[in-house]
Amino acid sequence: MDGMQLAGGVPMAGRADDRDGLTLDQLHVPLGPLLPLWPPGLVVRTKLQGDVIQQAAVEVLGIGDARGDAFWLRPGRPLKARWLDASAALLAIAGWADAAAVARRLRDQVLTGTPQAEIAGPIRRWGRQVRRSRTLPWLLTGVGQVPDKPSTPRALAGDALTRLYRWVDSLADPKTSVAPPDVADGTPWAVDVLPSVLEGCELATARLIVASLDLDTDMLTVCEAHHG
Amino acid sequence: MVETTAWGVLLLPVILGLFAVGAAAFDATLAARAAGVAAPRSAALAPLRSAAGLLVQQRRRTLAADTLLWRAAGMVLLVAAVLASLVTPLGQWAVGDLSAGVVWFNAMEIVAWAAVWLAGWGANSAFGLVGGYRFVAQGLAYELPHMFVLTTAALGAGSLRVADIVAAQQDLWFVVWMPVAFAVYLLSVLAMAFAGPFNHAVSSDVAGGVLAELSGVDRLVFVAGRWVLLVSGAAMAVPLFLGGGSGPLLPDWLWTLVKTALVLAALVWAGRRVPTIRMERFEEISWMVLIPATLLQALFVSLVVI
Repeated sequence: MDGMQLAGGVPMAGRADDRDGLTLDQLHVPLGPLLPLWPPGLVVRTKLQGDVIQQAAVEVLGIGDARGDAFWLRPGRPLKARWLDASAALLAIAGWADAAAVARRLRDQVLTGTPQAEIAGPIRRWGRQVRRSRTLPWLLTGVGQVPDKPSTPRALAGDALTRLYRWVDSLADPKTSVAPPDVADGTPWAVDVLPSVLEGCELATARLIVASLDLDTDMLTVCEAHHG
Repeated sequence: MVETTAWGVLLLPVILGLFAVGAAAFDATLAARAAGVAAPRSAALAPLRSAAGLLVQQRRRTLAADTLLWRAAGMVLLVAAVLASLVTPLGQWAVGDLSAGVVWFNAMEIVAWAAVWLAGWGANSAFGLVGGYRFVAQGLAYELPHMFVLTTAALGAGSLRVADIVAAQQDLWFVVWMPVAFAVYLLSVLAMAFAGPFNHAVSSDVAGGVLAELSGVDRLVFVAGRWVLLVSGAAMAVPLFLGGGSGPLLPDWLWTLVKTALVLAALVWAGRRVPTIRMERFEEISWMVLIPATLLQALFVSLVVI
């Protein structure tokens, strides 16, 4: 340890080639398992150069200990509430606090059993406001584009903007808005593709990507229980 | 004419402070209304409540922090934000009537770059540092258009003295024949005070970025400095583009206050309506749209002046 400089007892950052072939400091920064607006238990171990993720490894903590009881699968938890919840998280990470606050309020109203007739209007108004924003497409287009393969869950296809608009449009559609919770969840697939989607992204984009994939770590415990 | 007053040195921080508290209260009220809080009026007191909380909060420490620079950051930001308003006239009084007042204002708000970056650097935290560098990148995006806009107003008056710029607007406010410059000025004020939608340096995706590890009094001073910087920027819009204290009926000092309050409220309101603009997108629009637009505006003004 003689030659190594120490800052507060912690070794200085090592170095590695970056995407342009320059040798830069490399930091090991874990994202999660606890962060605001982040799927609980998800850990993305990143190698950062500046704020660019060179490498990402994904794991989910605590699956073995969970009871296989997913919040969104309990009775009285319609998909509508989950879409509002996912939209709220994505809008908050995108820095639109007010639109996120409205979505959270509507989600709570759905969960406490506000009648459909009463809440349909406010949800439509909120959806129109989100779809009318011209900044949002400019900021989210092309962010978190997932590979277009047969295995890609239809609910997660496209980029962050497509996914947000899909939630917003489904919420406005009276037919889908009463849908029961979805057991065929995209989370296991999303956890698998996450490292490859995150590599080469900036921290800001990475947070948007994770929020836009609507990862529900509870669902992994359910899948685990199904497999035995 | 603008006369300088010595006692203004004592009054200026008070006025700026009151405006800053008012702006923070207005911001908190808007947030509470969006969240559907039952009594949004009591939300107006939220900034004062959290300020009181920060005063008694114990400081959080981080490993191997650069304590001196970290603590200094908030003070530097607050002092620079107050000093920026030294040349802003309140009606016909100003604390300092410098011959290069516009340059002074510009220099003081650039000190904020150092302050924000130091706050991010000092904590020795990855998220703080990311936030600090985001602000430096943001500076690259907004500073050039901002300077061209200041130059445009100075060109219109043929002087860098703020009093001369006000005097040149006796017949026609600059906002009327320099609308592009005015709009870009307002944008750059939001950006220099890293207020929404240009709050990427302190945004929630990096757990508060520059603010991530700041706590207690240090956090209070830094956040106060940020609000005062926004106030200083809004206040300077009045002599630069809105005719200073000129207006019917009311005395000119009151007109200055009214116009400042309106600009400030508009900035806070508009900032909440747009999602955070990430650096790479801001850089793009700044260099491709804002810089050419402000240069054309400056060219137009120069031709008119000639």
